[in-house]
Amino acid sequence: MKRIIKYALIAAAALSMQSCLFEQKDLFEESSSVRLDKLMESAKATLIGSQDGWLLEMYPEGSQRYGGYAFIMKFDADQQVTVYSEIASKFNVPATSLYKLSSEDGACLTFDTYNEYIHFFSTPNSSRYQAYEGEFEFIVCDVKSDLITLRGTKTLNTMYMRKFSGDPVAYLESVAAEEEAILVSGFKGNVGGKEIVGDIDIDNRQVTVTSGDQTYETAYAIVPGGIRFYEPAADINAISIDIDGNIAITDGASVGTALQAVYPEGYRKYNEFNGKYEFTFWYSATASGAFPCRLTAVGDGTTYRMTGVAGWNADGNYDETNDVYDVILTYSKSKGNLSMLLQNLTKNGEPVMYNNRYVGITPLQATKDGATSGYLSFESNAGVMTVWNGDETNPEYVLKNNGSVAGRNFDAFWVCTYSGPTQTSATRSSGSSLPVNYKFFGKTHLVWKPSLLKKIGD
Amino acid sequence: MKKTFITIIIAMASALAFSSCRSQEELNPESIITVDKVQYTPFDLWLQKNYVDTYNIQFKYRYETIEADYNYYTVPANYQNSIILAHLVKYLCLEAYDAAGGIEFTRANFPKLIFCIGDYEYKNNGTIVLGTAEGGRKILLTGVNYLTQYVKNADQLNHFYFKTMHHEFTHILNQTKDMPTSYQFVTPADYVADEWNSAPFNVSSAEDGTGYLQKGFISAYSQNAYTEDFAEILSMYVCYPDSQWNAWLQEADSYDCHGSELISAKLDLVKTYMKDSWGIDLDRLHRTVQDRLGKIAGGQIDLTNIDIN
Repeated sequence: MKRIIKYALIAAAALSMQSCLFEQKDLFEESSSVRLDKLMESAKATLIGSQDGWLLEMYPEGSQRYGGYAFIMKFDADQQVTVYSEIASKFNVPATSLYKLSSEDGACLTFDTYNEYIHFFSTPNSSRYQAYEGEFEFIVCDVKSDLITLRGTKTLNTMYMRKFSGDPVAYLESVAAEEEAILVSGFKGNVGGKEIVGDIDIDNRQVTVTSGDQTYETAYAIVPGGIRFYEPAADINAISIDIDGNIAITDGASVGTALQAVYPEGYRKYNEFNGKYEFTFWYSATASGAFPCRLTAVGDGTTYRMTGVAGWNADGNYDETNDVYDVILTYSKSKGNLSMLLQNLTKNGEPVMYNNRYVGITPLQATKDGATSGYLSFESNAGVMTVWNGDETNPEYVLKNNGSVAGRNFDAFWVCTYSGPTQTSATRSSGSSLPVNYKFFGKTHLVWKPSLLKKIGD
Repeated sequence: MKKTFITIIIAMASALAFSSCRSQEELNPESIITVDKVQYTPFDLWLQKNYVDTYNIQFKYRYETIEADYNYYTVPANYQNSIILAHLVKYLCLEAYDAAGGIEFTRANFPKLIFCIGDYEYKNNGTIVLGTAEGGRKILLTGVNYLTQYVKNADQLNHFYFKTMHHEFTHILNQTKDMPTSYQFVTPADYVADEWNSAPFNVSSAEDGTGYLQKGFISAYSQNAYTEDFAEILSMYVCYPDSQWNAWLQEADSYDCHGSELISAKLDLVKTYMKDSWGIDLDRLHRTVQDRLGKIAGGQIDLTNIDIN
């Protein structure tokens, strides 16, 4: 009994300790839904307000592993959005669709009818059932007159819409040009007293920056003249990169600091091939030789002239006055190497004829020793390319199949004659009847295993 | 004495517990609940007139995450194709039922929500979902962005959209009024559940008489369960022309089998059910749908006009 009374008293005490505190002040003057409404209104007014639209660098996938891509979006008051994008096959063809601002987890910008560009990263197919894990619903986190901060609802990636002015097509063209101009594989230098090393993964648009014992990994998007990082890496937000390998910090803590370009392994600059070389090949199934020749940069940034190939006599001596053609080697700026491709041979830019037929070299995958038979290819990019041994003082370049024709492993050339300027199997005749000074180093019209260009002098 | 004491204590406690904190403040006249402002497109106005006002059916062509299936990566439907699909559904489905059963039937029974998405729902094994019907209330139509490829081809339209719609609608009717019990006894022993899609059950006819047609099933999926069988018979009969139906019956009788008798017996039960339970003449529905499919394929129907006057 006493116990009951005790409990009853405790209960009474507990119940009587209620408070009537009215001092709690609202943190905001307006209710959350009214504030949300206002955010949506200001977001919409801001979106529509930019006449030339907004630049969104869209990063699909939660770890941004595909990098960022440029979209320029113009919003109108009738819920229409007109989109230009870097992923379009034609930059001057926009795609239009509808957009909507609604209240979800905050103000939500949704592209709610199909747009072939915006929905590119989220459109699945049978081999990619998650597409690129992109999205088309974004929470509006912050609205400023020239910058809108968005967060993807699926990936939670933070993305920015920057106020755009100018011509979207011109912008996207310069983005595409910049993508072509990034030949470096990285950069290094001293930033704010610290040595940094950066690696650029062009294919996946990722960058890794090491500063001291800190490593930063982030994705990037391409902007005219450079790249902009998804997140700051070693206090760098963006860098400029030009085709000659000039790199500088354009946004971040040390703006203006120049960085040194790092090229991919085996990369040679255009003017680094000049000089005297030895060319090695087999001129029959049993005989090979190394012959002198010269590589001279033409000066256009894309081609070299290989001289001393023709003009040899039967005794094995070279006679300059008999030299009827040069071989043109093509320089690849992205790979930093030279290629010997299918070509009609020329002298001083003029096509070389013999008995009114064009003289050319044609790549072959040999099926017999000495390249006496095999598979010819007439694709314009078929041929072999140089692979550098990495030695600066005694450079050697192995010639390897350039992989341009699927299923073909080029290991030979034939010198042939053609009835027209375009090489085809129908216009081709064997070069066996060509005089000795038209043959490769006076030896043969069947060049088997052209393998080594060894530098022997300047 | 003790009792009185306890009573007093409880009374005091109660009094304290019910104390009020009356405030002098007025309630805020402004509601904290606001409604998103909605802007209408010309298509919205057409839908309001032709779907909402006529049937009280919502046709959602703008993507809403809440309506989508979170198990799949899906994308919105394209605006122009949504317009075409809305016309097709109205012409081939809603109005066909109007003609066969009266508009009140359609209003009372057709699902109230149609949701469109642009691509299919892809599973991680590469297969796709063409459409679903949930709980008699909502129909999901997928692949809308590919619609223009199919408009001129009645078979494709049926395969990708309308067979599914009629099939799912049959389930809804069955949920409201039971299908005849005798139906499950026509081919009682041959339902195979989820194995319908694998050999030997996915073959239409075979020399040894094990094809699904020969065993009295109009499609492989019919073998799943008698409820699915019922919906398959109805939707296949409605969607495909007589020539196709008769070809199936012929194949059902190949190699000395008698599948056509079983299929026809099932069809009779379906027809009787539709007539007795719903007052719908299935032959008339079949003819109406066939006639309308022909007109669509022939390009005689304007599928893009959203003029509401």
